[in-house]
Amino acid sequence: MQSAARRRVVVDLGATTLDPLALAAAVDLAELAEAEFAGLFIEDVNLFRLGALPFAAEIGMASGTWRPLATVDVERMLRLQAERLQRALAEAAPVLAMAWSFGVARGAPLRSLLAARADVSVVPGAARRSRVHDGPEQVLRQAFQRRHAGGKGGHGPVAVVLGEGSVSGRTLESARALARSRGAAMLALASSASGPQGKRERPDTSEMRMIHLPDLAPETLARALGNAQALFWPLSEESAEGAVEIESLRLLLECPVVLVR
Amino acid sequence: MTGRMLRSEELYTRCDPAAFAFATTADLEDVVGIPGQVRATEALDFGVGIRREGYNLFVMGPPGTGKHRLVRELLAQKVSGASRPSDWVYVNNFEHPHKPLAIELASGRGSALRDDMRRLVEDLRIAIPAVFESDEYRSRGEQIDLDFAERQEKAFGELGAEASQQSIALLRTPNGFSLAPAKDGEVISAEDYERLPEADKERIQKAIAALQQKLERIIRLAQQWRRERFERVKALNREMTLLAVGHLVDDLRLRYADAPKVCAYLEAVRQDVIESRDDFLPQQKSGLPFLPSPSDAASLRRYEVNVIIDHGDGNGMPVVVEEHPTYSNLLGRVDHISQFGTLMTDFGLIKAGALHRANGGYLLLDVHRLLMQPFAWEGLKRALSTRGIRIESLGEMYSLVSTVSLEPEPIPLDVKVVLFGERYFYHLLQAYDPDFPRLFKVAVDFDDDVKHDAGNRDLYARVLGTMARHDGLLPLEGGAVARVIEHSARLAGDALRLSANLRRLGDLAGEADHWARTASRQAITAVDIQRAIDAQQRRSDRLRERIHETILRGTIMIDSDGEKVGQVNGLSVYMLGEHAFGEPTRITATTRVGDGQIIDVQREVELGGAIHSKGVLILSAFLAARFSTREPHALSASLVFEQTYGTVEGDSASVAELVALMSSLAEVPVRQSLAVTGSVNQLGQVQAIGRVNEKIEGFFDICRARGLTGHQGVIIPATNVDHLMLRSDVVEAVAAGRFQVWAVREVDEVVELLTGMPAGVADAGGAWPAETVNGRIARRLKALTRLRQQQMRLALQGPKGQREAQ
Repeated sequence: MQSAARRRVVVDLGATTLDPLALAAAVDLAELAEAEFAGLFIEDVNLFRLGALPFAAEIGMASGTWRPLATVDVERMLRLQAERLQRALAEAAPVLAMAWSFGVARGAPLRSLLAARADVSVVPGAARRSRVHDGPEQVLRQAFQRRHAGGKGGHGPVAVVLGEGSVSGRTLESARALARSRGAAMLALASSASGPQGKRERPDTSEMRMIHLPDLAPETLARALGNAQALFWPLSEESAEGAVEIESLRLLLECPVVLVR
Repeated sequence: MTGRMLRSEELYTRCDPAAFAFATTADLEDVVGIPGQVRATEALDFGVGIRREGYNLFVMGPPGTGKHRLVRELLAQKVSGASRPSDWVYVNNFEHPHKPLAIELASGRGSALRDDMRRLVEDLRIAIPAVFESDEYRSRGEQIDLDFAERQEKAFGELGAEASQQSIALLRTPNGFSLAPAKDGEVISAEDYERLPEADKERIQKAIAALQQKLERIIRLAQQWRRERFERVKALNREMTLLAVGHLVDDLRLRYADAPKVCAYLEAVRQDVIESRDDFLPQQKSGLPFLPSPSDAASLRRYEVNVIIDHGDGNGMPVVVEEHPTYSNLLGRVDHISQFGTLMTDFGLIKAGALHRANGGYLLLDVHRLLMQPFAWEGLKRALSTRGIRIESLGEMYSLVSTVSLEPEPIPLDVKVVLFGERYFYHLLQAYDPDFPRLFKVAVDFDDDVKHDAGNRDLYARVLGTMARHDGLLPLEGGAVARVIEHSARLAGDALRLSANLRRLGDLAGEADHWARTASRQAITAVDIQRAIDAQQRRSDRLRERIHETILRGTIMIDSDGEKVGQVNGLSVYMLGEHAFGEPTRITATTRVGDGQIIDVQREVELGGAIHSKGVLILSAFLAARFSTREPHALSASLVFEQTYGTVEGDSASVAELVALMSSLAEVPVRQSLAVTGSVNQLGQVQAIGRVNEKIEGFFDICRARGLTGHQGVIIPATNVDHLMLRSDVVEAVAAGRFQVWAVREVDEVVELLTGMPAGVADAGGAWPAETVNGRIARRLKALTRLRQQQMRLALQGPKGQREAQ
């Protein structure tokens, strides 16, 4: 289904973490880069821990009634959901003539996503995680159909964080492609505390609107971003600290965080 | 008292061509109406004109009398220029789709409404998607979604935060939510939980229990918000659809403001469109190539208008002739189409019947065909009684099929039905169908024949001229017309009447036209008419010739000379459709002592009809009344129609039977050169019979074949003389004295002619002269009575007496 050289864009298709904005960004980026769309169904380890607790119970969103929940129930539910999503992806992806794959992993959602082999990882913003959407399969289909119909996406800008380290050319290239594709403005976020040396190392940002923030702390970024469509985060290395930073950021953001390697 | 020998002039009434004031019928004007049918014409005029309930018409009379032509001519005059009746359409009933609605519209507006509705649907298919693709709709829809999402988000967010403060995580599960103790944002494992002190466990469980209640309330609220969102989206959709559909429907309502039912229908359409906006939006194609796409026009068929009656291009009132009056052809039907093995239907498959088409005008039906069709008569009566056309499926009515069907709204009926048929249908329906007199109050009775007078002769000439013109025939000369009129009298079986069977006269004229053209004539002459008559006769003559041959060969025994006791030549007629011919039949009688019974062999073997049996019983009554007024006679007799192998019906041989009996009783021989026809009553009077011409000709043909002697002839009732229209060869033979035709009034006249012996007249005391036929009969009867009395006495004395007698 994919050539050896083909890039991969991975996105979380987990039943509880699937996010329409992240999914839309992943679909757009995969098509723009002619990359493989890699759907990763992450079985949230928290749910298994929940199922193992003696008093575990679940209230149905539709029924509004409580029922006991055991580990075996969690496993069964997740397996069925993974199967449905895989079928939905197989039906939806062909509209874009796109290479695609579907995988299943178990663990903490973000860590599992970061651990996946991919050139681009799209991490869903978690500020809206409690928002109840249409069924996951429907969200998946809509993402592909929107792209197929030439949908432009949201109204806000595509943002890139110019951190202390260097921003890869691929990150900027991807951000530009997404912004052009959606007809969105580009926003470059930098810390006003950065020195002249840091500025010299920055790439060409002539087509971006530069915003200097007091710092690039998650809370500051979240306030500044507002209705941004996506935030491109410089991924210097996959370290435990980096993961914690991303987790802190995404918990405050509505838009997805795009990590380009 | 020997009857009267008829002169040749009495045997045929000629029509004098010189009486006609034209050279050919080309000089004559067309005739309107049917000659001589004054009563029928008046009845028809009345029946067609009166517009009251139950005044439907039954037009009766024999075939070929011009019933249909007269009715159509009269109706054509009546309906031309009359206002055209309403159009009728069926439309979908949006509340009860299985009960389509019928709408009446002014003539021509049915198809206009259909076209308007098609345009409306086309416009809606453009206008509705446009509205739903507008920025306004998107923006308002997003606002609703956002409002819903924010409320939900806020509620769950606050609960999540509250839970987090108590080290409890609010988790999304595939089906809903759950709560679990957490540490550093991760749910603690079961092992870690077990290691917790009991107090912590208790605290956690209490906290979770409290949070669960709050979560439950939020979920209930979320459900309510979802419903609210759904209602708001629905309301928005309705509002936007109304925006698209409103002015389009309003335009149509203005156009049909004078038709309240159309306006009500359009309002229903508006509401349905608002509820069904998805049908007007572009739909995804079905994944399976053989399945119809939901966006196909099929889903919008419910807005079609089924114009079942369109008088837009009509001319006056409709006159509908239904040649095949089945139940569904009369009352309409609901068709079905097969979809994936299931029979489906809708209001668009309602088909009109003849009653729909004739509504507001006239429906012409043949009663025989109507009665032959199952349920058609009942259906017609029901429609006329209820003054409404209700389309019902016979299969469903009788539970023969089980499929989706409709109950279309009945359509009010205002039609005049004209039934055509033979008289017996009319009388049978009058006798056995109580609805019939109530529904068909106007009888239009066409005569079988009309008076033979100068006026009608002139009218017949014009009828023939009209037929010739209309059918492209050569005109008829006066002589040809005269010959047709003579033939018409022959067909009527009465010199004083003319047959009203214009079809047969038309056929005759058509065939004569063929012969005239063959002879390169410019007009049809009497010769051509005669040739056509002869050819018709010849074509139908096979059976007559065969019987004639068997008689001449002696296979069927008929004597035409000599004398025989108890044997008389009767005359019978064979009817083969419109062709009839007569042949002589030998009737024999034997007499003996007995208990007064006359045995009719035909009746004993059930080969005699009721009228024939009646005739035989009258003979018995006649003999008893004449000869046994004081004591019962001890006569036993047998009567036989010799060599007949089928049913004998009618009493036209009763004179012959009586004479055979009297001959046997009197032991006086009967002349075989004379044949006799006529019926007799118990007073001995001879009464008229039918088909006298054919009977005379039947015996004449036998005699001529054997050689006419001048003594041969036929005895007929005097009351039949007016009916004589004999063939020219018979007339010529009588004129030359080679054949006789006698007219009689009393049976004694027949007896004298056949026996050559006086019949005898009883004196004041009731005694008959000795050497007369009646005297001999009286004597014989008395002898038989004495013999019978003697036998009875001996029987009473027992075996000794019988031995003495021996």
